[in-house]
Amino acid sequence: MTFFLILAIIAVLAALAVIFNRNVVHSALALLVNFSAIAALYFTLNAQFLGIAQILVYAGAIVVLFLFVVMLLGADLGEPVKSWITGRNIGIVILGLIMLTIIGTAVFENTIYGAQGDFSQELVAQVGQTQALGAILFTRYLVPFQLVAVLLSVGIVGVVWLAQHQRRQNFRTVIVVLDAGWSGETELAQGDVVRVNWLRNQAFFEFDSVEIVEASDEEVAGFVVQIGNDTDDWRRSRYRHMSCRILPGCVLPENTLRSLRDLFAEVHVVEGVAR
Amino acid sequence: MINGVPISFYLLLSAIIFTIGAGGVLIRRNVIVVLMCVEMMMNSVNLTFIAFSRFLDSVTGQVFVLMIMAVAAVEVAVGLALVVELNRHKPGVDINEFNSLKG
Repeated sequence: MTFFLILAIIAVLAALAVIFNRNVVHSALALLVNFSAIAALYFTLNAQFLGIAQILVYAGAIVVLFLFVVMLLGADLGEPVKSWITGRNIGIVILGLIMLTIIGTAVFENTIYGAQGDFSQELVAQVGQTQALGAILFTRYLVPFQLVAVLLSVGIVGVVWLAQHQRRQNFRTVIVVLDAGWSGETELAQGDVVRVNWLRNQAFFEFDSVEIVEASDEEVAGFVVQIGNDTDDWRRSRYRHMSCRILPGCVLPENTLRSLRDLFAEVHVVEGVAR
Repeated sequence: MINGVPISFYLLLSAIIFTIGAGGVLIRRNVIVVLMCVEMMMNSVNLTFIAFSRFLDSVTGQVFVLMIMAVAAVEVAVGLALVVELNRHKPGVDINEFNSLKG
């Protein structure tokens, strides 16, 4: 009983620490403590195999994955929480307490019944916990087990598909166009060239050159700032080799032209008559 | 009673951790912490399964837990890949910012 209470208190405190830490890395470490405490509870419940699996899968794989993503996205992920005591949070806590009261009443007011299974503790002590689990997993639950294998494969394929750069490989060149007079479709494909209207699709994607047809100084400056703040190293290395054409009809101040020249390899100001 | 601990204690502990996790999902706005809270909720359910499995002398609960662990691993992998991909389009991890399906 004492052992259970100690583990329960550790688990609950760690769970609270996950929520109330401002630093995401500390949250992940608190999560590790929570998982380990629950794994220890599995041992007290005579589920040794799952206790080990819990430590391997949750503490070993999942927490490490969380930490990797935190590192990948930068360490300054702490959200600016001014105060935890807001009306909304108090409402959430009250709702949580109501839910706990309902569950607690249901648990303590009722006697828990259920059909007893075949694996009494004496039998499990004879054949071994892992053997008992394996025997039932590979006979009665064989199909769900194989479905889990399918699920894992689909998960791997999905993650790889998500993680790779989504290049527009069907088109040879992607040109970003800043044209205030362009209305209608965001993208226009002509043969091997696809033109994307930046003013309507201000997201990061991979492109090969820039064309400024008609844009105000603010719009060009905003474009320069957004591209300049791109954190993707691969795209940044490409910006330095791109060309930028400024068509007649778009007159930009020298400052903006200089910032464009800083960003891209060459900036052509096309001479001629405005269309 | 399992080693002197009534099963209701395990159920209550599991309910407390589940509630903390659910509260965390609602309170926190950081995508990664929200995913952690979801994992915590899943884990508390696992605890219920194993407590019942021990209480009722049945291994079926443990089979369920094994399946849930696989699902949780896949879920967190896909979820974090989505977070990374979202971050490429729109820097930041605030889930309030991710409010449009398009671009």
